[in-house]
Amino acid sequence: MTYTVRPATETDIPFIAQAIIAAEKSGTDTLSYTTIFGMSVQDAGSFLQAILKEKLDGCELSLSSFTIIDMDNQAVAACASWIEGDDGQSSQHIKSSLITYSLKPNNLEHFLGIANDIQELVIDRPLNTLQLEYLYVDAAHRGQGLADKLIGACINTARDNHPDVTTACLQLFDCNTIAMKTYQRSHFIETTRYIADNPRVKTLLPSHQKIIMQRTIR
Amino acid sequence: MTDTFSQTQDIFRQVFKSDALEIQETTTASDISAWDSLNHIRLVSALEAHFGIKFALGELQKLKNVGMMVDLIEKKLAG
Repeated sequence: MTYTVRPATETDIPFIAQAIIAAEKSGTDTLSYTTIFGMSVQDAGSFLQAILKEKLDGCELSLSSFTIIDMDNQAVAACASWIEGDDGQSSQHIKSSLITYSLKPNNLEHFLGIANDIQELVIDRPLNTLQLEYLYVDAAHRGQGLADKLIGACINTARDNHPDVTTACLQLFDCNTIAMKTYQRSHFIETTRYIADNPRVKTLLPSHQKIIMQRTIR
Repeated sequence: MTDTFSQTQDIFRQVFKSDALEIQETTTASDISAWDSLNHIRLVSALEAHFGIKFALGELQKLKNVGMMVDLIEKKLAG
């Protein structure tokens, strides 16, 4: 079996949407896209595909952020990475514009009704850092070092193209122990832990605790 | 201050829950600490609902400050 690392293309969009959903669940049954926006898992998949097709760069929902590993032209692993604030706008605002533009009115209304409940776990990402998100390896291809290979590829791309960027960061829920161990293996360490007090958070997100991990890349 | 700018300021005050908030044409997201992703969604949807307009994705991306936002709203209102 030969694995190839490459940038994502439009044909990868269905796989990336599936990867985002799996990664976002963080090892739980809770999918924030369904709880926060009041939509089914199927609709969440369609929603994510529509967003990825917009080709807006600079956040975790940008097609251009994704690196893919494929085998025989079939995507089997994915990871998003981007330089925070590279085009002058934060990834949070880019993602928000994408979501506002793409949501149906009833889903937007649902979101506005619960937004206060998740406010505590909306965390800024430091400018001019490499950000990683949505690391996912298809179940049939796990245990072969593909996650490590993807993380390494994202870091190497940042090293080559952004010599001023010295730090890589990521955010994950504390329940995502598999991802945490994977990142630790790639020399990331936990730097900050955010704990939400609002009990409603546990019904909307995979966990009420978010962890920031980082490492130097120089 | 134009009427559109004044109405936009009122919406900013509602979204960011600050009656004392004074926006300028040069105000950017980095000038308002509470302008996070959730409030960005609240702000855009509140502006769209109040003025009865819909921003295109490309338009949102080009907005660098409040002055550009108000100019865009006025352009849309003018049809």
